[in-house]
Amino acid sequence: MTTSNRFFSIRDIGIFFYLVPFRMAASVLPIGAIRFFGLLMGHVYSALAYRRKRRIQQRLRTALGNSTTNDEIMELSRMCLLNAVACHVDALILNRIGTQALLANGKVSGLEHFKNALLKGKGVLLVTGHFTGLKIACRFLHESGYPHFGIVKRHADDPGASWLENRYLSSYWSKVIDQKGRVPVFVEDKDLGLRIMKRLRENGIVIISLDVPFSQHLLTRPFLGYEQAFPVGFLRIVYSTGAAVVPMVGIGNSSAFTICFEEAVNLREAARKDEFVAKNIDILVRILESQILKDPAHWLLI
Amino acid sequence: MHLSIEDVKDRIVEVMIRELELTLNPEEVHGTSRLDDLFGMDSIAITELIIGIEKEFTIKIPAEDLSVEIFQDLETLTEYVKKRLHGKTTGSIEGQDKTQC
Repeated sequence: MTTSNRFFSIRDIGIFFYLVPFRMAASVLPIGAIRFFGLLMGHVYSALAYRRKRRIQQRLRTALGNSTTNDEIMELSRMCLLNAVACHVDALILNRIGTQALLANGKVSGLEHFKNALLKGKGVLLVTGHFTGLKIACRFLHESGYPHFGIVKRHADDPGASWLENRYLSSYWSKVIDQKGRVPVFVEDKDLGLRIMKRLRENGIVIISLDVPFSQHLLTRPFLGYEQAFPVGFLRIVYSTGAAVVPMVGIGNSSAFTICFEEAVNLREAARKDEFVAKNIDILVRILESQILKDPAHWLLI
Repeated sequence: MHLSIEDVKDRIVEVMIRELELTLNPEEVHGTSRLDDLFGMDSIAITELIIGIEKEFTIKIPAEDLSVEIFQDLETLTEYVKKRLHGKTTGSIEGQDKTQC
């Protein structure tokens, strides 16, 4: 685990406020009031987090190139920060909202691709990124009767976070948020491989977040103008099991969202496992890139 | 074909060396008390071992049998595979046809 020099940071106060008093208030306040407060917090954060906004603008310029004007970049960076806050607020709303009410607010497309992939009977790996509607997509799968799990890290392991956040706050976060529709399995678990295999054998679903290097197997690839490490352990499983790989994107919040399942990826064959992994991670990274470029303000890791 | 428990164990060790690309000789693998020690931090490796064993012995390991108890060490795995092989010849293992591989 990465160790931070700081025991405690200002961000810890914000996280504590979110996880304890705000979460408790959100369990009783009217949903409209929570949304309003979230929007307010989003605007405050967008105005104050100027360093993060600058980083986002720089990344957007590199990713989008000269085709985007400076004004558009400024607006996109503002939206990125608003969406980041809205997403956390929405996680609390999601725990209160009923299935019918939730599904009435969104649109799901490409479900036939996902169902076709399941018909193969070898399990499906839904490959996605950290988009604003990821939690909703997980909830949709859960409520629609598709058993699944996502792979997360027990500790944040973020070099920018304090020791307190990495060690305690982030694990508390994953315990109290995402109560419905998402059962996390930790990358550190020794039986991770067995659990993935078991789920695929049951023709179930495993959700892979491609944009975080949560794996013991990583490959670095060019991505949005930078070099980034990508998890590839799941591709080794695909090589062995023949499970289908379906890209998925969830955009929006519980008041308006879209979930899109794309056609199962036509994976390139290879005689050797390493070759298979290297060829196909390129395909998947390009898919993720195109998803982000379509809705950059909805990608949370920018 | 009837395989003794030692034959099964030897073949599992061969599969391990081949599938996990281990740089150990069979004696060293036999001497390993826990399978975790062979995999190290690589929890995905077990999926390759499962597929390798299935191919080697032409058996299917159903989802309900994918447990830590069976894959904890060479002895438990060997016993399990032996049982599956016996079930294959007598057709007595429950759930054998329930797999969706």
